[in-house]
Amino acid sequence: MKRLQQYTATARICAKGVFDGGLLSVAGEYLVRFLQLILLVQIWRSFGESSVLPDGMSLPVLLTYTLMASVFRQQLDIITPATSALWEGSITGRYLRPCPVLGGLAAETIGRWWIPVFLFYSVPVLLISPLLGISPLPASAWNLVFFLISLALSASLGFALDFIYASMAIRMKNGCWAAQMVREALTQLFTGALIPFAMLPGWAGQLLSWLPTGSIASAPLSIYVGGAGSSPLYLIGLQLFWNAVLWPISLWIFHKSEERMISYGG
Amino acid sequence: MEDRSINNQTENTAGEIRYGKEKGWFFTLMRLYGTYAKLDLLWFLRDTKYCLLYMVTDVICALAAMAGVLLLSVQFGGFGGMSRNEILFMLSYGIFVDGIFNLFFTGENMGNISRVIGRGQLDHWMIQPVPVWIQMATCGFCPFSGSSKLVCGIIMTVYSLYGLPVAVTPWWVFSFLAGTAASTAVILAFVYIVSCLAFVSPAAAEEIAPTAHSPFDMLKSYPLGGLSAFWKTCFCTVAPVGLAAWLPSLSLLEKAPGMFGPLPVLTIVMAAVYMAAAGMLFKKGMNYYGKYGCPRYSGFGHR
Repeated sequence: MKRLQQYTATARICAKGVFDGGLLSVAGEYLVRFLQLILLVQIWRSFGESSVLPDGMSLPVLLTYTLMASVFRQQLDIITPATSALWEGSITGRYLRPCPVLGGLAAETIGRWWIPVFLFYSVPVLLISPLLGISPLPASAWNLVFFLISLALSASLGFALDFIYASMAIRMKNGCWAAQMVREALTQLFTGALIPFAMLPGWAGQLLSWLPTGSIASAPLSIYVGGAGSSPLYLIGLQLFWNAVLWPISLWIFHKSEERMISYGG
Repeated sequence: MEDRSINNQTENTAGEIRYGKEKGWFFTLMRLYGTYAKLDLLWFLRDTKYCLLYMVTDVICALAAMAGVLLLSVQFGGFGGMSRNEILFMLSYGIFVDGIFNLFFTGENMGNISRVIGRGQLDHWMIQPVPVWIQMATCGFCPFSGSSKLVCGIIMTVYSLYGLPVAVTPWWVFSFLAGTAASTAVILAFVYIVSCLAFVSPAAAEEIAPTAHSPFDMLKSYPLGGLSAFWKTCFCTVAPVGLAAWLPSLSLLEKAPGMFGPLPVLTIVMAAVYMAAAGMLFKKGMNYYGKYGCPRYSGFGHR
């Protein structure tokens, strides 16, 4: 219970600090995200008009998928402050706090990104989505239930992968920014957050859906829209499998890497 | 975008600059390009492992950015009014533009000018006996560490041209180079226009340049031909991601022929407009900076 209070307090402090730098520091990011949504929606519409969409992927389904990918972007693309703190030298401060480092980083992520983005980006976008001609509703009530379970597993898997990336960054020392850049570049494609796997060539979509990254965005979003292909139980089972495999690896690699941690600050 | 400024320390001395001044600004410009090239080479030689790491990273990021759109075009045999090969050319054009940007504006946060403004580092330029514009034009030059994307762009462009019925004449090559230079100018000017907010709000807008640059990273890979005229106009004027690859590629592929054949005239005109606006706003910002300074110079110290 005490631990939960510590995490809640950390998340609350981080959430309050989001606008410390002023509205500009976050509004630009929200605007870019919205522009990306608009562009993708327009492009999918042009696909729909030319009737080239693959079987089982209608235009409304595709638009809802893209909308929800944008709305839940933070939960489907977990980036904790681990790597940036290592780069900035502020990682040492995390070791002085009276709570576990990994738990603290997760609480910071929830406070700094999940809460403000949900309140100031996700909710407004969900509210205006009917004006854009996109339905934000799930395929059915069951799909919503399965989606929430899948989203929780996706976030859990995202944290595990992030700590593995952070471990790589620790080992790359001054090159940790390179690890971050590669990770950001690959994430959008490999998770299915930007382009649904059903829109890719069959072999590529199938291959990406089996990877752990495929369980991060593609699985919950496919469940939400009730897309053709795999059943919710199969996708959730796959997510459970990757969680069971990657969490022990993540914890082991991170704790081994901590012994090599060097941070110059910069 | 990473902050590589720590690896590039200026080594201008008063003696060198006085010598440059006597010979004119062009000589100073070339001399500083030479100096920054030397500094970049020294980083490469001193810290080869990390330098190569960043170079490889740039290539991976470039290829990853184009992979999604390329796979879409493979699946549907092209889209957005472009064939598969035409999309490949457009993506290569985009990487070439990124390559030019990296080559000239990676170092010293020149591509992320809001950081320089917000941190109060403009003062460092003002005390140098060289015009500010010459320093701005030269100090981002990284011909070694910043060249990997450009090399990748050249290879991809040549490869993509093999599958296209394009007559590669000297005029076409000139048009291509003019188009890529104009696209780079649009991106740079857009980033600088947005970054001018850092003059009036240094803390809030210090990191706004990467945010201003990110639409180009994320959206320029998409062919916009399927969009309505309204959205096409938006993406070629207010949010000019279409000028970074799509519109000039159409001209070069002669799908939007103009008076000058493949020359992307509209992109060049828009680049001139954007550069003029950026120059005007930056000058206004400098005047504001001269009057009020930067609050980063406070009791808390500065970077």
